Amino acid sequence: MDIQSILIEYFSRIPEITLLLGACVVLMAGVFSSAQNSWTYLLSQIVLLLTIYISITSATNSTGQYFNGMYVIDDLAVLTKSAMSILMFVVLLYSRDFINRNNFSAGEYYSLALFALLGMMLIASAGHLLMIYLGLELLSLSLYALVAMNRDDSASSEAAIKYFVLGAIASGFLLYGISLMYGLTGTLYLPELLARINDASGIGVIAALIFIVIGVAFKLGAVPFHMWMPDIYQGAALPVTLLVASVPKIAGFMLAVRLLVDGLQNIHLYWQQILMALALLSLVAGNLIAIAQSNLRRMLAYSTIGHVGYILLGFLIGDAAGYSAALFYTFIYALMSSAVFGVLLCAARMGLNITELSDLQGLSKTMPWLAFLLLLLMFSMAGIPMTVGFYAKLNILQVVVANGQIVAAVIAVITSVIGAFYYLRVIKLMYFDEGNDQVFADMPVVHGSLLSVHSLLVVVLFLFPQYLIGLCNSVFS
Amino acid sequence: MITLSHFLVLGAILFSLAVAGIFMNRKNLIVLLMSIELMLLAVNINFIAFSYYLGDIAGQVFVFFILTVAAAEAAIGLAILVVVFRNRGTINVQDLNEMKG
Repeated sequence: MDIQSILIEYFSRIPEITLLLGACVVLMAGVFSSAQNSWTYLLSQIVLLLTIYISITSATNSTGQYFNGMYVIDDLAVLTKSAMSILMFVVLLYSRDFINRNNFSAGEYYSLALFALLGMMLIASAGHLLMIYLGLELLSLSLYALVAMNRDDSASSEAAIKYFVLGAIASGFLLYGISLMYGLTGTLYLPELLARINDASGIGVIAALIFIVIGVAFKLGAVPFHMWMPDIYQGAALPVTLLVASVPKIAGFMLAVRLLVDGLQNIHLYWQQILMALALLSLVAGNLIAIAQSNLRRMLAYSTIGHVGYILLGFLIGDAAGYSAALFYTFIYALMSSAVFGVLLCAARMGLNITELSDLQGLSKTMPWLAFLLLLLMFSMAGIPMTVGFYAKLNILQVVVANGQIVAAVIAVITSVIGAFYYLRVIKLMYFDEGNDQVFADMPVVHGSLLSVHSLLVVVLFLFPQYLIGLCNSVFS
Repeated sequence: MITLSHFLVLGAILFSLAVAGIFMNRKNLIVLLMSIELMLLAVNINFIAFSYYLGDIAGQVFVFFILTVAAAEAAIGLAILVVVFRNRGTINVQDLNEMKG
């Protein structure tokens, strides 16, 4: 086979190659074009469309191991990578107007977003601990820079330095755990690791496991390793918060799957106990602290921590049903979270900057359609029937109860009832409180219609959840 | 005779020093960045010691990647530090308290 056909074969099978080249082109286009130029936006969306296409088509004929097993394409990788690139496409579409109006450097935002996506896709396809580390660092370094992008804003730079320090500590812990695992087993390949670690009787395995779990918990934002999350949600620019709050959650789930399931499934009973403590703490602390918040974005950050608790609760069960329930919850959470920030960006575009909860007062009069979409999303986040958030929670609870963890299930239900309070408070502020009758601009057509479809998906998926649930089940069976 | 455990103890001591440096430091952000570097170097000692005693080269290759990433991380960290100093005129850790709750 000549070199040309080998290249074509790799290009058509591995979406990361196209994404990497595209991100470099966008970076250069950003250097040579003015800040308001839409070239970089169009280029990055074209790159994303190509990536989505290659990711989806790689399901049929490209599964297998590449590069000596360092890079793996399996059904799970295909599903999560397609979901991540589609979500990133939507995120960039929502962000565009805000970037233009606030004089952000567009080329930097789009290229950093693409590099972050590249890191996430590498995590999803990793078959080797080095790939996991490199993917994670590519993601983290891009996100640090993105959070700091609003560089004249003091809150944003404070959020960035906090995120940087805590993220670096998390990487350090994860690496220390990986180095101990390497010393114990003599391999960095995940399938080899799975074969060589059969019991955790030695103190070394336990220590390595604890360091790895702490690293993963930091990246997911589980209590007590959640300190960075509220500050980023509040301090970063709105498009950056939208990005941080949506796509990396799927990557965090994949990080946990690759490390703990692909590598360490045999000592599942040990990591289960640690994750159980983290999950319950996240559920209780996230939902309770969220009640006390007056800033909407900070409240959403604590609600995220509560959702992470749910995801971990499904994940720690440790069988295919648990993993697929957790994956379904992750997808639904990323969908809802990106839609909520899409609503905030749409409102900002129409002339209303929503930061405090009180800014929502009377929103149903001034922006009735946006208020209705936000109402649906809040119902879905609270897990009320007629929205898909209900199925997401139900799936997790079913798996947890089926495994006899009744206490954990009861705590999860109680905390989600507590959580319903602050979600419903948002609805009360919008529909039953009086605000001032300002007049705002009309809803933007493209952003508004995509946002409507995106938000109404939570109802559509409630009526027809079988397809997505089936997909999540099939990748773990 | 220097054995593997000597290296592991050295790595563990350096790692603990780094963690202590991060959590006990209340003054200067630059000391935080130094502690983060120390943490990664402790991991490197672990990797190289294991790699030597296992007779497996992969650990040393990993170290090269960690060194490269650490350089990139330091660059971004210092850049963010400059942004913080421009906005606030201080790099005192205790002054990073604009957002709470």
